[in-house]
Amino acid sequence: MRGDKMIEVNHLSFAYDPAEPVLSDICFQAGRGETIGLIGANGAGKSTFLRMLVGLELSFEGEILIAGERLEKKNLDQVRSRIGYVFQDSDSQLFMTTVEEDVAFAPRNYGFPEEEVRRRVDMALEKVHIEHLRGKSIYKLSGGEKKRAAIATILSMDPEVILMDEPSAALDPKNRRNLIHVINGLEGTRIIASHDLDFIRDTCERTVLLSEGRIIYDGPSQKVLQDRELLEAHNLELPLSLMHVITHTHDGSTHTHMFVHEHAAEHGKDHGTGHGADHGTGHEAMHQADHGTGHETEHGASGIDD
Amino acid sequence: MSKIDHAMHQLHSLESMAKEERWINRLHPSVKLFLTILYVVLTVSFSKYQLAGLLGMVIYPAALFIVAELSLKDALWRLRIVLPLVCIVGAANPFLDRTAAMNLGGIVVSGGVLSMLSLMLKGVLAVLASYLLIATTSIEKICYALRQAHVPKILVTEILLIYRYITVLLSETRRVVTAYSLRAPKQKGIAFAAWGPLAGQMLLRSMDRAERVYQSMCLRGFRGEFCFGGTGAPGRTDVLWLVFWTAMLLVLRFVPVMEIVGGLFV
Repeated sequence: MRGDKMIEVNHLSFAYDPAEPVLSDICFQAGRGETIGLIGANGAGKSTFLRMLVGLELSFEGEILIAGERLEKKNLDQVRSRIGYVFQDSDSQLFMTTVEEDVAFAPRNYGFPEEEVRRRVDMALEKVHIEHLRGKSIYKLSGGEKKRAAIATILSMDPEVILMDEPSAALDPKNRRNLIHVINGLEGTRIIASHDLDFIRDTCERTVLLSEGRIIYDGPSQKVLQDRELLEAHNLELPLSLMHVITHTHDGSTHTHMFVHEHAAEHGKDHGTGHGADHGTGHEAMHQADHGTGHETEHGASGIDD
Repeated sequence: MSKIDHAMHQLHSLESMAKEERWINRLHPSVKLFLTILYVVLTVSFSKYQLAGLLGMVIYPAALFIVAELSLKDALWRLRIVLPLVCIVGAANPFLDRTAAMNLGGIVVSGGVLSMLSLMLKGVLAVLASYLLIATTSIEKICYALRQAHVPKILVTEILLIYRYITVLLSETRRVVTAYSLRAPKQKGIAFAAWGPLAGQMLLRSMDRAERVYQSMCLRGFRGEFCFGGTGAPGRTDVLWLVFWTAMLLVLRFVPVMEIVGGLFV
């Protein structure tokens, strides 16, 4: 874990209905500056977990500490000022008439002078590269623009922690790549809940796998995202860019190679492009598997032996 | 474009209009709000037979339409549902008050007709003045001006939230209606039997979405009152505009300007 603890969750349990626990005995820590992917099938408890970190659900058992401060009703405002939460549905996040007003909403509420509000708005819009949309009406934005505007609305708070719920949902490949670029350029602790494992792979160094309200895995993303057995056991699938296993024979023996497009992954990290998924490498690999050519090395594949 | 889409488009175009970079839009919202209230109060204070005096009050909205470069035709089209209702208010007067009030070239005009016309004119002028305010001032700025006028914060927040949730309700309605019509392609409108479930769905979904919007606001420091920024104290232009129109409206109300002008030609 990088730096000191930013988030600490101790024995957290939560249920809407006592008979069906949503989260059970979760213990979790996140350091300053860490980027953590939260993966899990539908109903695993990812969104609920994020909502709890930001105090939208307070009737839980256990303890949540944000920067060492215990999350309680009485200090909710204080804790929330440190956390930015990006909703899955950007339409719920954007409610003012223009992008600029929406981005200025938080700093104004936190009582910053108008000059500081303007500085923060400029900074937030610049970070997500939507300075040109400043005066645009919210309803005229495209899906990708809305997502970036939604991120800008929380960046203007200058949060120490950024929580994102399915940020890549309903984005086209180009907007998805732009978003990866934006997220990789952000500072602070980031927790991203997503089904999009390629997206997690391109943005997060650490991944937590939730299943039926429990943490099943917590460790390096590269490791869990290549663990087909573990993922499938919890109703997930390998990321598209990793999922194609090529079996071909050399010397009469069978070798199973996993197509790992490391170069693409690095490229995606550095430039926010996520080529691994967007350039359809999975399809290439599938094609190669079908024909048994094993051309993966030409593409910089590592050819990890299973 | 469906009716709902059209309604949303109208709402957003009005918002865009209010945010345009025109001189009149940049005037201090408190000044515009005060003048609008003053105008409405003075307009409705005319007695029911003072039609001539009331005609003088047309000057203010006419001037604003010119200065703001707004289209009267467009305004009347937008207000096409409200204006007939306003006009209906005095419709019964000609039957209730038949006393002769004036003689126009041999035609006797009853008090009822006069009062009906003045009521209609009052209504139309008041609605037009309100329209001019919202077409040149964003809802946030109007609410800011209301807070400056010490209107209780709960009331101002209610106004803003209702305004915000109109869009939420409309967009949820659009989704529900679209989903329905796609599965009932040959049907015109919505079957009576489906009204109940659809209304229930719309209510639940709107509440759900409204809750998320509210949560999003709370997560960004909202504590029950909207904070409005970017509007400083009124400047010299604002004061001049205020003084000029306050004086003008008072003159139009208390000096029989139209009769004096009319007297010049008789």
